[in-house]
Amino acid sequence: MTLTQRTVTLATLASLAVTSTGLLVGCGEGASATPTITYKPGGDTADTNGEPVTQIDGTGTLTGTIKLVGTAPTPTVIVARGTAKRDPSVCGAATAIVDQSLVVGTGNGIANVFIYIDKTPPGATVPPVPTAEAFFDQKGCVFVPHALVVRTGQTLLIKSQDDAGHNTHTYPGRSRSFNGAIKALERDGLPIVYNKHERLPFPVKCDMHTWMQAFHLALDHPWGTLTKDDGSFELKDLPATDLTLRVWHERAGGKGGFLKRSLKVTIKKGETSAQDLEFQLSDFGL
Amino acid sequence: MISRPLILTLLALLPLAVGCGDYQAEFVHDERVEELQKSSPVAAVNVRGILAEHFGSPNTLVAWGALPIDFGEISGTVLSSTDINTLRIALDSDPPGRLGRVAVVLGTKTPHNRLAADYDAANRTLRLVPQDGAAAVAPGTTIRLIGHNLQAGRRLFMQHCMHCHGVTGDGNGPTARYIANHRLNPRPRDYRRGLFKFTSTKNGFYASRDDLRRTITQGLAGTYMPSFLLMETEELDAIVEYVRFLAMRGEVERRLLDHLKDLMPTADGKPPADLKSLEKELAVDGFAEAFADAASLVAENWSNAELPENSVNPSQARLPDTATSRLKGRNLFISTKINCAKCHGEGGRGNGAFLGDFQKNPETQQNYETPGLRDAWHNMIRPRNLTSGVYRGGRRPLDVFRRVTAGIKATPMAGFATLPEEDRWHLVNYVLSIPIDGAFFDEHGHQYHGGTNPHADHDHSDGHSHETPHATDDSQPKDSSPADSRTTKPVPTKSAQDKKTQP
Repeated sequence: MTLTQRTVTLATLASLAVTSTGLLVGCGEGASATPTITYKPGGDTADTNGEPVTQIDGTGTLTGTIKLVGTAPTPTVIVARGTAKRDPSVCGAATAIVDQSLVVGTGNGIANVFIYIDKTPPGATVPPVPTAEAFFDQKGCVFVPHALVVRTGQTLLIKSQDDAGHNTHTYPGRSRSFNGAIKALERDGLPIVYNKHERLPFPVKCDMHTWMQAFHLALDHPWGTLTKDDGSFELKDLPATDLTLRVWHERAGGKGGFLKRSLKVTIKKGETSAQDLEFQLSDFGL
Repeated sequence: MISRPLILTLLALLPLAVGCGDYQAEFVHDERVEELQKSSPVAAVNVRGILAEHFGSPNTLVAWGALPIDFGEISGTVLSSTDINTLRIALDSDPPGRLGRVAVVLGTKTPHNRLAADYDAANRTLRLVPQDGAAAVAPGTTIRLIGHNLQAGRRLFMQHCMHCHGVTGDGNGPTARYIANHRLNPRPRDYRRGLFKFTSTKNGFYASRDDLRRTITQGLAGTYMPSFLLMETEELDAIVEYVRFLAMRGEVERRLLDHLKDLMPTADGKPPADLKSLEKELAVDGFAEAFADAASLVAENWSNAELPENSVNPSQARLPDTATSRLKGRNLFISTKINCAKCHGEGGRGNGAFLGDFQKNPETQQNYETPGLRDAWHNMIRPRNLTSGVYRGGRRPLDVFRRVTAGIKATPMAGFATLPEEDRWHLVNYVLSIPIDGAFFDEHGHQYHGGTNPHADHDHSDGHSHETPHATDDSQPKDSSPADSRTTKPVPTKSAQDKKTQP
């Protein structure tokens, strides 16, 4: 062994020793140090102010129409009749499948606009959940209806008139989500329930037929509705007080949102008030 | 010229120089908090503050009693106090280890919180970390030591899980980027949506503790998630609770940010028009309520996952794995009435026709840029290749039954609870037979693997023969092509086929 080689060997050994010491000493506690635990009791929920709530006396009705200013774009044909890539004997077999994300009807009325109270006003009497079921169907690989308001806790039966399998995939904000297969020609209906009040309408899809889309809203009170094809709506039995309504549409801002975040109305007992709204194409990202 | 020994020495010393630095693990906030900071600093500050207050940081964790987490708690009574920081105590159960740095709650009516320094079990002496304004403790005072399980979970998580799942449980640990680039493997789970794919619970329900424990002990076959079967039970329990803690923290943050969505900068990067009034409504007046609501929803969802009525359990035992049962399963599998094959492919290779479709992003209502199935995290995913015999959620018949019944959470795989239970068992029998006996059935009801000579691989000792030639393999994605009637037409079920014995 030459001197140089020996020097190298010694140096290597020495450095290895130093390194090992470093490893043994380790990196202190670092990330594996014992963390400190502090305790915070639960039940510190937002305290309810002790002021007595006065019951709201009576109810009133709100009607109105929601219209588009300008010329509505021609709805896109998603699947021309008889040309569906999937299940062509069922999907779009009878009629073409048309984009329903912005439906503008007679007199430029906008359909499928959600109008609802977000939170139950204090002192309002909330009627019980209807025992009757709500229905959500599919026909020709299109959801029927395209937009739906149900009560929290109300049974919603998912049906199918199609001789092809579907799945219904919901994306609620607060309720339990659902992704279940719907058998061909499911006429009994598969029952689902939205177990929580929703703050916003949410999409419902079929992963098998990717164009299929609808919007649902589940409310823990009955004060929510949709505009009809002519853009008209009616909210009955609203608590007679000052209310803030949400006006929501799936194309607002281009990707879904409030057409009007806070629509302030005053409902008077036994009276019907009217509220007409107009929106521009730009409100829909057009 | 630098000599070789010097270089070697320097290299060897490098680890010391790099050292450990002052490494402080921190929870990373959802990237939307940064966005929010740009338009509404008030809201961003509030989000950071309330999360820190209720969850702490990795080195100072908060055990928040509102969450359904077993933080680890031992109660007892104070016997005497030597001084303000040294107590003799009687504990109701044996403590694990030294109980250092766990929370100490003294008294019940107006509890007084301290921090344990350490516990000497032999002398039953608990030393407390000195604290300004601490009061003397009277003998007989009740004492609760809280957090040893959370503490152990944090320590073990940092050792075994953090590399992939990240300090925050966001699936973004240092190793994650290498896995994410590997197309065949899923990314490490981001816990922050509360969604875990492989569960025993019904559709729409979260993972139970047992589900997480099973994933940790068994690993996820076919992925980078290994098995940690060698861990002690207490260690596993601690990790499960810590994973749940991170999932709850992340989901509360996510829900809070959803609540503040309207405060985010608009598409042109500017604050929303009515910022001040929205800020008051969402980030000030309604903030505490929104946080409490998010936390209670998350707590309820995780608690519900533990309830026996929310787990999927067949009411009857697995149906006998007969040829008839498999064939019934096959006919269901290819039926367009329920569409298994549209994703999994007619040959079960995970190459069904639906993979060619553009899915819509449920958050933007726009199509994704590339066709294919997506999970809740927007990652491209493949339907399971059922010919491989690798099942991520477990290969027991019960596991497959649960997958068929409840679907796979956070993916397009739907639950087929609408099918009669016996049909689901037929599907299980068929699916489990595919890797061994093949996905296809010939006209005699015999299974084969596809290919040009489909009958080469099965038993002809019963004297049957095949006269009709068979089509080729299904290795390419295709729709239910009418040309291939062999695979699309259900094969009649004959009881005579039951004589075939199964492995």
